[in-house]
Amino acid sequence: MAKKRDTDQKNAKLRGEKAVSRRDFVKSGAAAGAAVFSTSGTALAQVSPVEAIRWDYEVDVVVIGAGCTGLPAAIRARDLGASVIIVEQNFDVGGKMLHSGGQISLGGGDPLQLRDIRGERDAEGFVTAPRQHTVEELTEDTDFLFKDHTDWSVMDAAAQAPYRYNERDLHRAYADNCYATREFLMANYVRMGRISGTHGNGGMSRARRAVTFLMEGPATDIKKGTVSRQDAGIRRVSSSHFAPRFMEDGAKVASPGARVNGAALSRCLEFSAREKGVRFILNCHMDEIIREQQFSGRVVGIRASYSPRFHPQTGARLESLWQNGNIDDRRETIYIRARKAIVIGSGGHANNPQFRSMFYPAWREPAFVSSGWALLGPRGQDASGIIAGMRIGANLAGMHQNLSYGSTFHFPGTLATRDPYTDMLPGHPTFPFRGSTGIVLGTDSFQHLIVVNQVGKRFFNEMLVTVREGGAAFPAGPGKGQPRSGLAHVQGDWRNASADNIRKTYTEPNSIHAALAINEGSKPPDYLSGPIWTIFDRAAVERDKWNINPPFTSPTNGFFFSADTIEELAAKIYKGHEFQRVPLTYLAETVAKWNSYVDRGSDPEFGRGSDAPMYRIEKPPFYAATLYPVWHDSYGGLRINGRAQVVDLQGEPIPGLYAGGEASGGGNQHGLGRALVHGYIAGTNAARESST
Amino acid sequence: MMLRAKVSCLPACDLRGHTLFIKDHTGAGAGSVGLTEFDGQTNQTSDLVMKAPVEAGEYTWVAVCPAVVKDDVSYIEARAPISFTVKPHTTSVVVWDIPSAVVVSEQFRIKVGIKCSSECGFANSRFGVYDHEGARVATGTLPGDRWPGTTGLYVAEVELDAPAGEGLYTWSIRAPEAGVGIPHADGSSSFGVRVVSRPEHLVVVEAIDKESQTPLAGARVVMHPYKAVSDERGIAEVRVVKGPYKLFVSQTRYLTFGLPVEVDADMRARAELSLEPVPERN
Ligand SMILES: Cc1cc2nc3c(=O)[nH]c(=O)nc-3n(C[C@H](O)[C@H](O)[C@H](O)COP(=O)(O)OP(=O)(O)OC[C@H]3O[C@@H](n4cnc5c(N)ncnc54)[C@H](O)[C@@H]3O)c2cc1C
Repeated sequence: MAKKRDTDQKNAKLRGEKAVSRRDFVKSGAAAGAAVFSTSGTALAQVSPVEAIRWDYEVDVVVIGAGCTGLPAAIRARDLGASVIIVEQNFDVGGKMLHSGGQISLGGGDPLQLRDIRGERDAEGFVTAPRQHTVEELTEDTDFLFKDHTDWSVMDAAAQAPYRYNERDLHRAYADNCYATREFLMANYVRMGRISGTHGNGGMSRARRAVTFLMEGPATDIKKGTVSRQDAGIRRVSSSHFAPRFMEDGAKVASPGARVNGAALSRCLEFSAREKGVRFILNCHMDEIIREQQFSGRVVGIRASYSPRFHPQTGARLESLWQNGNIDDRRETIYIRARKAIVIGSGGHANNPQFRSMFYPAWREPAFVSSGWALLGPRGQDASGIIAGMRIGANLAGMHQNLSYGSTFHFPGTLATRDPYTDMLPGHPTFPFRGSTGIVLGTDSFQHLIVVNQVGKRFFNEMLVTVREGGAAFPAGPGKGQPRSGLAHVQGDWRNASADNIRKTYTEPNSIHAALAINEGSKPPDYLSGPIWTIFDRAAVERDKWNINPPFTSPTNGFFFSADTIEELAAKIYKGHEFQRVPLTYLAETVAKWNSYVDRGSDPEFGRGSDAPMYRIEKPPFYAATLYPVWHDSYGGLRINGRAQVVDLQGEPIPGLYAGGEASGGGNQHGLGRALVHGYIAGTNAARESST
Repeated sequence: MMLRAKVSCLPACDLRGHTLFIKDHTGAGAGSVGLTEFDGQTNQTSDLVMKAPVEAGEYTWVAVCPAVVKDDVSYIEARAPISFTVKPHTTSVVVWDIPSAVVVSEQFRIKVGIKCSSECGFANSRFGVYDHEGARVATGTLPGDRWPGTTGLYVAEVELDAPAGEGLYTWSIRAPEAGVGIPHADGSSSFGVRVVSRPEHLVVVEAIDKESQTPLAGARVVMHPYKAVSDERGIAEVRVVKGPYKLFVSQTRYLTFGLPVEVDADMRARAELSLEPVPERN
């Protein structure tokens, strides 16, 4: 039987990745003569007495995390004359941003909205695509954007209110800094295409999204704005160290030859940061933020530990794509003093089962990981920035806002991989942690299979399992929970939130909750749901033309099995999947029952048959592939004010401490826009702090 | 099955090199194994792999440690019973390629696959096909070779006669019937046989790509229980009996087209399919 492992820390060890165990840090804590506190599973158990610390580095601004908040914060602080060190727990720069689609919704009359209104092209002349929106759809000011982001009335198609609970001071500042942030990006090599709609809770009333691109060229050259074909990736074949995900065609929003995604954002910011003299300590996990006294005084620095990652097959340490500006410090523990400020840009809590289960106990299931899990490793998104802030008195905000974004937790519909919310292909150094790219299925393809829980029982209409409500953004309309579309949408209108409108527009199937429910295999005290499996046969593979060969599946990663009989399949899953804690006792019975429903042409249990054709699962070999849900990005985190200062439980800023992006709460906007603006604001204010 | 034995003596003694004998339920010698390890207190054998009896049931064998003289101390013979249950191998049956609709009294064919949990050879062994009343309606014989690409699945095709009345019948396959040496628990699998009267109407379905207005070859047309696949011209012909249906047309990477239809004459239907949006990762 495969070893059943319960935490990613143990997991990481077994996979050759360094994880800090409780024993490890208790040991190091004792060595440092510091008090040891009990925490569950994260390396934050010490409070370092300031006077006893021997600082290894001293710098104006320390930035935690080289991602979407951290990079702009560092560049901005550097632009304003500060010396900056970024500590990054991963082996490379970029965080989830590197992995992202590169879609950035800003607005409020930002430079790209204005460029499109004027019908202009970009300075380099790359953007040849025509404008996508009318002048009216692009025209707004910061007050209008602020209203959109704090609109009490908007209810999405899952009857959640994504804007109502946003922190007002924070969103006022957000609206006021969108223009400057867009300009800042362009000044740091970031190229963006035409404005096209708005995404992910970026507001209902105007078009605000632009995607980042580079032009395919003979070589990758950030200054010239080009990316080689190799670096941009080959569809369904390879991605690269430069871009962990295949860069899509950007002809529609930029021009023929444009390749789009977050690599075109992340690598450009990274290039600029290195060029401007930001220094990076990679493989370095911040474990503690040190304040003069635990709950009073300024923040003075951080304690961090060495966190290298090793190739699971070769054992070689993973190295960053670019090295200039790196400080290769391999000491177990280092202390870095921040003369002016510390910026927490460590991302969210999506990969910390204990933390995320504050919102949803079912998510204490350690099998399920965050998006970007392979790229960032088990300790990316471990909530360490938030916990470090909490331990020195920070307040939290917007914790419930995890519920108001459709893809916070959902089934991405990618089978046979633990890391389903990415299309990373072989070519990136972290691909071996995924082991397989997965079989990517659209919703309709679920007609060819059944989905079962850890004991082998179906729990929902498979045609609805991956359906989710998708973000409340322009152009609004019933599909997004709103009575009116486009410019007809009215901010703050009571009809938007009326029971009548909710009845008409509610589309959330709630299938994910059925998947995570307690089942016959759930054991106290956590009653975990266990893994979810798709079951299908050879005929399904042939009918819908699925490629089930490597790298789409892996014969060894325990996420895909085949067998001549269903009984054998059940036995193989139990033996070979690390989170399958109980036998799939009911699987054979479930398949037999399903086949009888197919013969009848209807499914009395979950109502299939009227929405799509049904097929027997009968022809060997039979297959099982995981269908793992993902916690994509997280909402709720440190409370920050409009200056991106972390605020304590008395409502006072903690002197010298800034945060943004997914480490912060009170902003229900998805992803990049939020993090970039926070980073920009944080960097600006951090650099302007007086030195201590 | 695998055995391992421990031997301890009073006072403790190192019996490495000494041999243990296993006697089966008839008293006949079944094997022997040497003591190879001694931890200061207890001696232990290495693993002894033995063949289980061929009949299922409860058994008691005996491990015998013969008398020995060691370092001037003589140890008398010791015996320990070994009790175990022999279970028959389990047999799994799979059935596929069952037509979704069979016209009354017509012949149809199905494929039957049979596999032993221990991957025993089932070459030339037999299985039975039983109807909804439990009567054996056919027997099949498995071929001499395993199905290619499998680790022990034997596959045969059988021809069957459909019942004379319309309806959904549950039939079953039971195996193995005969031809296997070692005891195997019966495996069985049931399957539905949908028997219909002779179709009266022809439904011609044209599958089209909505955007390009070009034909979709290979589209799957389902009017439960009838099925067809479209040809190069995007045309599929389905012969059905009169009545209400949900017409489904689906094709890889397209959104399934669904239309309720009432068939009371020959008819044509045009199904325009749109490409399914590619899931975005942002
Ligand atoms: C596949 C995918 C596609 C996406 N597409 C889009 C999109 O198109 N548009 C959009 O708006 N959003 C998108 N997102 C979301 C967006 O990328 C994130 O929300 C955003 O990057 C969050 O920024 P952040 O600064 O909070 O975290 P990150 O960008 O993840 O950066 C955090 C960094 O901190 C590091 N870190 C964490 N803890 C520590 C520690 N203790 N010490 C040192 N370093 C630490 C991490 O390793 C990481 O590098 C996407 C995400 C994914 C995974």
